[in-house]
Amino acid sequence: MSNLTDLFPAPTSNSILETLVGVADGRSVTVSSGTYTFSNVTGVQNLNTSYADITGSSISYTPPAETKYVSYKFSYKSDSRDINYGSSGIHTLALYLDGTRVARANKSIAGNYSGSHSNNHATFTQYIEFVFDLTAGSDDIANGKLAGWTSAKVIKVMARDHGSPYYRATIHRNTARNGTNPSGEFTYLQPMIKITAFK
Amino acid sequence: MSNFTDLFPAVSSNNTLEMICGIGDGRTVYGVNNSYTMGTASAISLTTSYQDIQGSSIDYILPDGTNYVHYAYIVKWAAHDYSGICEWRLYFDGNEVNSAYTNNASSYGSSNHGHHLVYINWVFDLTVSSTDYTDGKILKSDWVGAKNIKVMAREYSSNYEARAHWNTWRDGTSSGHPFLDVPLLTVTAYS
Repeated sequence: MSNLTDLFPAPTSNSILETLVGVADGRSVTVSSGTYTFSNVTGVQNLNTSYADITGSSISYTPPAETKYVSYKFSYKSDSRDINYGSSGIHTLALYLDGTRVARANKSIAGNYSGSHSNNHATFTQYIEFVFDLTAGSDDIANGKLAGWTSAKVIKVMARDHGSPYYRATIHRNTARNGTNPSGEFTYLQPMIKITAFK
Repeated sequence: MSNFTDLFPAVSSNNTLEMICGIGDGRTVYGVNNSYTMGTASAISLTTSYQDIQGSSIDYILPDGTNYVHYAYIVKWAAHDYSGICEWRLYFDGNEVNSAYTNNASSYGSSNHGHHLVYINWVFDLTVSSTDYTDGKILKSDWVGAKNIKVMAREYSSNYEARAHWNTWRDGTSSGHPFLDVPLLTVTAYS
């Protein structure tokens, strides 16, 4: 006769409550906490010297019950746009939670400065990732700490160029395919969001 | 006396069905129901023709109940000439996933120092009503048994050559290079 614990072994578990992942192509994804619709990115986004929402980065998220940590990861394509000061494409990223800037997540991205020429080639896949701590005694959004999170909050990334007219950047942009300039759907890469809720 | 369900509660779960993760050194990785052998990578120079990128290929079998498959491949790229412009295609069962296409390059410069990671990502959506390979949407009935997912790449031209899995420097010297930088492949199935 088997032991009771052989018939009913201890449940296996881990600390991940749910993972929400998707490409910004307008799809809807259902997880335990609800159904989420991703933005539909259909082209490149030129930055300027004022902060603007990065298209495809925004999502209104409600963690499942018992969540203690929420990881947000936004993957995107960065490209230099300046045709005068080649290649660096300096831009800065600002993460926002429900309209408040998470200063702890500030990030700047650039290629290497390579002189004053028109070969603005620097282009690469990139991401910004941050973990919100929901176990704090009080909200401190600037540092990504919250005293719980029980209703929908918008997470998004904003970005701006470092300056003008030099060092400009473009988001989502592809610059080559088959040894020449890309066309149509190959001119941009849709970004991706991955959110993981941990207990 | 406690209830039976208090003593033996239902197993808690999340929507991750399995994660296959391994570096490109030929290792075998065991999933829930199947095992997968990773490719073996070596530091290579690319050409102007698309070629399979080592360590990116997997013949993946879905666990029951899969609605989404996240394919994530991290590969080291290095410029060989100037900015080393490079082009990366993702394939599913021999069909290009156009929406996952991307290219990369470093800043332009004759020192060709550009070395960075390239992230090839796609989430295959299996909840659709018809298959659209170009957008990575796969009807479940079209993913029966093993389906191959892989990355192919080429350099832009012979003036902007590129390399993969390539480290030029180590311990303050380039003597003896190239040094292998192994790629990392992660495939995650979600319900």
